[in-house]
Amino acid sequence: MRSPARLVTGTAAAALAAAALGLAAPSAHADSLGRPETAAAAPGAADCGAEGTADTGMADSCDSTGAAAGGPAEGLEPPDAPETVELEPLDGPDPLDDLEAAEDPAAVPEPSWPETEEESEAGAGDEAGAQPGTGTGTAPGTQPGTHPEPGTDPGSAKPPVPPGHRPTSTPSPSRPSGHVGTGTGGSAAPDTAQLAAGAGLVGVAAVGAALLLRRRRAGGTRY
Amino acid sequence: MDRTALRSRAWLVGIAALCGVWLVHNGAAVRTAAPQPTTAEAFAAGSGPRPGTRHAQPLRPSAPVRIRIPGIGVDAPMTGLGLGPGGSLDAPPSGDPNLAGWYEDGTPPGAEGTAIVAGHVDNAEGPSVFYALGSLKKGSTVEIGRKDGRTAVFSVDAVEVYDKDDFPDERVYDPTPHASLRLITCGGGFTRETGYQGNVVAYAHLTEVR
Repeated sequence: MRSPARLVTGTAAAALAAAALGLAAPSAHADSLGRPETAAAAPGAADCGAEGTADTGMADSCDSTGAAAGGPAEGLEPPDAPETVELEPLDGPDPLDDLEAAEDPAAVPEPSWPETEEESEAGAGDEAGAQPGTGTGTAPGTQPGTHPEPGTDPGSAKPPVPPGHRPTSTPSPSRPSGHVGTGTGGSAAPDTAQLAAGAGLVGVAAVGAALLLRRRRAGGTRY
Repeated sequence: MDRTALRSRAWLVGIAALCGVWLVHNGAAVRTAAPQPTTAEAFAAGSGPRPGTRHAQPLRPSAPVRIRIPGIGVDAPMTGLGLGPGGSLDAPPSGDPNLAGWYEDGTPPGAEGTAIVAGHVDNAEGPSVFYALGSLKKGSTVEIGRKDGRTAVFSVDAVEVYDKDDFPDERVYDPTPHASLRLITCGGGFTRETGYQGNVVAYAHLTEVR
C-alpha cells in the first residue's frame, strides 16, 4: 500500500518542480524581453534619458541619434557648406526631380542623366545625405531653400532661418528633435502591494506543503 | 484522508506557490509609478485639434512665466530651455521639482505655431511638476500666464506616450497654423539601467485668452 504515498510524493514533487520552473521562467522571460530593449535603446538614448549619465561620453551617441533622426539635413551640411552658393541655384529644382526619378524611373520627363551625373560628382554628399535619410519628405523641401517652400514641407515653417543658418550645428536651429530626458526615476518604485501579496501566498503555500508532508508521512506509517 | 483529496491539496499548494512567486517577481521590478495615458486619450485620427472645439485668435509672442493645469494640480513657474547636443530639447534643472521649461528659441505659448513646454516627471527625490501629466484627459485645460499679462488658455486634444527610439518629431515639434502647445515629460517603461523608455506628450490648442 505504498502507492498513495508515492502518488502524493509525486504530485508534491511536481508542484515543487513547477514552482522552481516558475521561479526560473519569469526571470528568463524578463531577460529575453528586457535585455534586447536595453541593448537597442543603449546606443541611441540611454544617454539622454537619465540625466546622471547625460554628460559623460554620451554626447556622441546623442549626436548620432540626432543624425539618425534629422538625418538628411545633417548629412547635407558638411559637403555643401563650402559651395552652397554654387550648388543651390543649380540644384535647387533638381533634387526633387531626381527623387521623383528615383521613385519612378519611367516617368522622368526631362533628360535627367546629365543632372544625375552632376549630382553624383559634385554633390555626392548631397545624395548620400538625402537618400538614406528617414525624413526625405522634409529634406528636399528645406534644402533647396527658396524653391519648394510654398509647397508641402512642414519643416519649412521657419523659412527665414534655415537657408542662411544651415552651416551651423543642428538640423534646424528652431526646432528640437528627439525625446526629452525629463525624469530620473525617483518616483519609480517596486510594487509593494504586489510584493506583499506574493510573499503572503508563498508563505501560505509553504505552510500548506508542510502540513501535507506531515499528513502524508502519517498516512505512510498508517497504511 | 484519501489520496485524491491529498493530491488535490498538493496541487492547490503548488498553484499557490506559483502565484506567490510570480507576484513577488513581478512586484519586485521597478516600474513607472506616474500615471500613463490610455489609448482613449490618443488621437483618433490625424493630430490636429479636436473637431468642434473653440479656437482663439493667436496672441502676439510674449514669454510665458507660469503654467497652471488645474486638473492635475500643477502651478509652476517657467524657465527658458535651449537645445542640447544632437538637437534634443534640454530639460529644466531637475533640482527644483516645481519648475517647467519652454523652448525659448521657438514659439511662445499663445502665439501662432507650436510652443514646446517640458517638465520633469520626477527627480532623484520623488515626483516633479509633470508627474501626473499622463492622467490629463481630452478637454483638460492648461493655462499659461505670460509676461504681457495675458493668460493663454489651452484645451488638451490628446495625450500620447512614445518610445524614445520612436519619437514622432514631426507630430510633436512641427509648427501648426494655429496656436498649439505641447507638454512633454518622461514616461513609458522604466528600468534601472536605461531610465525612462519614452515620453508622454500632451497636445493642446489655444481656446481662450484672458
